[in-house]
Amino acid sequence: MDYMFQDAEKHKLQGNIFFKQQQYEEAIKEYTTAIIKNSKNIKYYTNRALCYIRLKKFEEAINDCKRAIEIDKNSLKGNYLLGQAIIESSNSSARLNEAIQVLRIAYDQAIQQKKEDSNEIAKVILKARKKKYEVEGDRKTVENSDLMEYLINLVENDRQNKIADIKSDTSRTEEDINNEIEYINYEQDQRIDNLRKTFIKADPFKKDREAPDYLFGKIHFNIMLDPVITPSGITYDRTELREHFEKIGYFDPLTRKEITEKDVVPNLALREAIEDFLDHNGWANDE
Amino acid sequence: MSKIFTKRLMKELLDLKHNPPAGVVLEDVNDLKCWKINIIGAKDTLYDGEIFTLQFTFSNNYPIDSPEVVFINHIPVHPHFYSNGHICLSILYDHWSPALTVSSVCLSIISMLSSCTKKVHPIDNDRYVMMAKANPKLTTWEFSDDTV
Repeated sequence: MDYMFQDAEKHKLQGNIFFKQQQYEEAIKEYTTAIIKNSKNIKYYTNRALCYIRLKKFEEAINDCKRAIEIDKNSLKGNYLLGQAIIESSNSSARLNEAIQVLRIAYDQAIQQKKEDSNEIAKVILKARKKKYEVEGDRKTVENSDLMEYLINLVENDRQNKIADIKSDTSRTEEDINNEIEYINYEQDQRIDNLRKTFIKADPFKKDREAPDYLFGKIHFNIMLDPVITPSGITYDRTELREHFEKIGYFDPLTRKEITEKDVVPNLALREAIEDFLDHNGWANDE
Repeated sequence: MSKIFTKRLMKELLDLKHNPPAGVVLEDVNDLKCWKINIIGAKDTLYDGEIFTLQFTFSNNYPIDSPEVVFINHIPVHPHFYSNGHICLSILYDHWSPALTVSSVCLSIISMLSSCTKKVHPIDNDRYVMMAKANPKLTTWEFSDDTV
């Protein structure tokens, strides 16, 4: 058995070499052999998944990630690659929600393991949110315009009926009829115009709402993905605060009170507020 | 130029353009990495109405790295401003915090002007100016006096 495992490891290493040379098909073959010889090593699956992603074979990538997650449900790489593959291959808001969920697991793992990747994962989560917003936004706009088209048709029909009534009124002179038709046209055009304006105003997805300052991190001024609160009561983005700790020092950037990473706690209420805002104003994701 | 860095500077720039603090006027931003800002001495102080120009230079690591801030052209005579334009202000060096902004730095410098009681050069001005490199961040600063 040991021999089989060693052999599997050799194939993995060969796969890594092919991967570096961007020969993804070859690398996949090596990783596959490794998996046959040892089906319990999570790395073989995640490495092969990354090859599939590079080849844009997202379904295969998703399968491999899911197998990796079966072995270890908290696998950082497995969840991270799964999220990426779903974002790339899917346009439904339910699937994108799933992507956000697994990316969150990957993010929390990165934070726990103090990996630099957390920043990268945070960006991918924003990407997923943006795509979800776009998908949902498209759908809502279509729904709205369906109703608008219907109402405009009603006004148009009403216009035709009214004009027909006037024309069939034999007691009127021709000039009178023309004047009346002109008035009807003016009136109905006004109605259609007002209708359009109302729909534009009512469409929450067309609004350029400005994100309030309290949703932004106090260091890089980006929208916060993982807001944390310090003992001084000030909220920062976790990734930004960590960068500050590492490069400048262990103190609260605003109050200068000494703190360490253990002292900060997640600001869950603000996180909910931010997620809600992003669901309704996808532009804020614009990185 | 990293994107994250550009984004923060753009936001600060817009803010400074639309809601500048009293006595701070954006002079010239041809290059996002190098700003010139005019500050005006506050009323009823020794520098009442005098206009000085600050030059902010940002590195790619701003706001983790502090900006390089110097006076250019007309340099105020002040016990903490050297005649080569260098500013002795701890928040620009050892006590920088990424939560500080261009506008908060400008306000700190204006308040240094306002609290000054006598227009004199720093005690070690001549020696410092002779020895100092162009970039004040390369100086090892000792911050002794908290009163001005």
